[in-house]
Amino acid sequence: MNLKGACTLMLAAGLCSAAMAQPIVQAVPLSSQAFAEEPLLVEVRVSNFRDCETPVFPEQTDFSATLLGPPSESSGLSINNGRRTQWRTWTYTFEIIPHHTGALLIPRISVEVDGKTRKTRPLRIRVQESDQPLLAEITTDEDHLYVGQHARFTLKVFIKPVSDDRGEALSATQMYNLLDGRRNGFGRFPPPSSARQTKRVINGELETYYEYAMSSEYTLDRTGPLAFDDVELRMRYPTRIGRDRFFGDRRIEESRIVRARLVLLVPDVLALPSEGRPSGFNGAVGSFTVSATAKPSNVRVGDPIELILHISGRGPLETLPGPILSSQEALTRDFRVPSESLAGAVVSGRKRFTQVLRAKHAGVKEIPSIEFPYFDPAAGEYRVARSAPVPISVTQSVELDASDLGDIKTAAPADSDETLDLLDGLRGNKTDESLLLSTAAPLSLTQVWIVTAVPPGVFALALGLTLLGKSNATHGARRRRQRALKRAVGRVAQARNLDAAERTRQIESALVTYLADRMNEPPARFTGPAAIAFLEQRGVGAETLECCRELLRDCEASAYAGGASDESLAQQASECLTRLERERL
Amino acid sequence: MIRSARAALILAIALTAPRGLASNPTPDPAPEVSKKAALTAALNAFDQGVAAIHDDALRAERLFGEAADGFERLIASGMHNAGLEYNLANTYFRLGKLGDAILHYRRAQRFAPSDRQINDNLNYARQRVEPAIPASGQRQLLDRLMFWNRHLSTASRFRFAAIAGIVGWALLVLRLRWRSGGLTALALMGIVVGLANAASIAWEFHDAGRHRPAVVTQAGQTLRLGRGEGADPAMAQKLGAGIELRILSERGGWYEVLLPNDLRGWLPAEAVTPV
Repeated sequence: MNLKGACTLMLAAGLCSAAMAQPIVQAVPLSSQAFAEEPLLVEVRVSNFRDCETPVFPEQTDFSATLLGPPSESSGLSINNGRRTQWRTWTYTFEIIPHHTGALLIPRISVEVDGKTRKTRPLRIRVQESDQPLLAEITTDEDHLYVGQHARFTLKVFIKPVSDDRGEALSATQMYNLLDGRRNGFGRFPPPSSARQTKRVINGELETYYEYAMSSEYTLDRTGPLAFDDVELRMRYPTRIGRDRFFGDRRIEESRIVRARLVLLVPDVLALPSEGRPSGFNGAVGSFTVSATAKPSNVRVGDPIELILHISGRGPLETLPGPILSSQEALTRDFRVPSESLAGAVVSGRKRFTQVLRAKHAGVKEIPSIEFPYFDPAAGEYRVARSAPVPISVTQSVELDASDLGDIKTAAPADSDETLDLLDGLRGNKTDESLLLSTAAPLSLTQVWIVTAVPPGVFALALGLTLLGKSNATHGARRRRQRALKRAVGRVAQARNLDAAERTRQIESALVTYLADRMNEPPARFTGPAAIAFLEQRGVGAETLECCRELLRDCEASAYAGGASDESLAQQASECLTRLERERL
Repeated sequence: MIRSARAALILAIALTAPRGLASNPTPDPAPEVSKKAALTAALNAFDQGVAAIHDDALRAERLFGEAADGFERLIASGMHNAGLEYNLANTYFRLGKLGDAILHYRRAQRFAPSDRQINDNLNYARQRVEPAIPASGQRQLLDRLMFWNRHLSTASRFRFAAIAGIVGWALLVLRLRWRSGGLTALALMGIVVGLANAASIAWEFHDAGRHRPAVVTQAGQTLRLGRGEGADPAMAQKLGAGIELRILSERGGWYEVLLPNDLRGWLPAEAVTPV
């Protein structure tokens, strides 16, 4: 809605509040200029209503009218001297296309408002000859088009450049960006990468245009004239370009909606001729070559052979049907071929089909040429592409047993060929009752975790027990070593109260027991000279060794001859033990 | 005492090992006779359908329908095994229901991945699916890395994981008493094999939970960029029955799916059946 319209509405709203808010219906053209065969937008505004029906345009031959979507709603609230006034307006937008130049009368438009029929005032608009600022045409290089053909088309868009107030024309890119169709109406035509200037004669004058060319390929799916319904071009064509006051940037100050009249410079689509149509033709249109491979190449009778066909060339590969192998006599003579149609996939620009064949008898030397009939639109005639024969070797089957045939339970027909035809590559049912009536319990993740975690847990337990046992053993030895001196000193102290012979044995025993406890060994290892030998072997200090040696000698002397006194032997033993305690044994 | 405890542990492992294995197919003790009769009837109906294909297509279709009903009822009664799923798939193939056929071949394959008949027929059916959608490089790499999944069922791998794991850890326990290089090597080998199988099962559970495998069972489906019939198509060609895909999410009667070529889109839930 432009400024003028808004003012009118506000005035209307004010008047209507004064006039007890009567419904108002009015028609407003959005442009002062109208051109033949170009859209002119006309708004029908309805204000101050409770219920409103869609306006009805009277039938006319001078123009066509189309409603552009549902109405837009605007509403407002004004308070004047404490008086509160609320207004609401629905705006219906119509696209009017005048069909000829001269004066155009848009008659009164009827609108059902609050149960009464109200009419707008008639509009008188002057329609000029269009200067055709936007043109479009679709061309093709093909002389003839056939249904099923994959043909290339070129969409050319021509836009007349617009200059600003300084006479500088907008660039080709700037003009192209004003086109609406580039976003939603071009179908499969990609945006152009460049544009060039060209001249065209319009209304008897030579005009300059920017020309944009876009190419795309379509597969023609019906006969007759082409429509290209999905290609619709319109743009907001600038009629006045001004400059920003501060920055000097160009901006569109006035514009009009223009629609391109699409000119189709393409022939009609023809049906495929019935003359010369080869048997096995499957609807392929284009120009193709076919190649074949097979694996394995050495088989027995009845073994599956995977035949791989590659079809390449110019044509709609995505939708290209495969050859009907079961109708190729040269192939079915020696091979059993399933009757199902082939499914293919486009891989690296080629359509790939696979089928499983089975040789009927031994001695077959090759898979014959595979024929692929197609219609060549360039030549306007049917042709047949043939693959090269694929050499294979087929030997006699050792034994054709039930498992090879797929466990069919029914009695085999007399003719074994029929059996194979029935199977056509699909293996038969399983019939083992014990298998078919069994139930495999579903596996849960918990079971997996249990199986994974329990054995290491058990190992960890066993390892723990082993380490505990070792630890206990080590602990006993340590305790014995720690208590060695205390026990020995205690025995020496006890020896003081015994008679001479017994005392001597007790002191000697204290030394032996001390060494045994220190080393966590049995005492028998350290009796008499063995103790001295052990201490020498362990590298005990000379003084300590001499002390021990002297003690043992004195003990021996005392036992047999009563040498040293009680106290001196005990003191000597204590000194030896103290010295030994300092040694690292 | 410690030695006797350790010996008891080893004995306990040895005794419990066979019980920890995955469940083998075991016959259901339920009404065996009626199930046998239903199975025989379904198998016979299928065989008669095959015999009637050329002479009386309508009769063949009716017989295949009876066979499919019979196999379906047996599966619904709790008979879950590769054979029934495979037979049902064959029957659907004969009925021209390519999507249902591939769905049940896939289900059969889960019980017996290396079964030649199942794999042959699945490949045979896959050749008839339109359009053929090649798998992406990432999916092919995953399949190669998990190569043993194609040959061993989940139950078999579970049995391997259990036996190898238990034997490996038991040998490691024995090694605590008898130190031997050979024993250590055997133990570690068993543990590695067990863990590898357990990991592959765990991955399978994780993958199935994240991206549930499914099959298009209604032909002529348009893969869309969003939910709803008004959403733009994600690919120009319509998906035929039998296209295998993975379900990423479910919302409002629509599945977000991932095609083998990593193309994402939305399909109506009623057109897709999880494997």
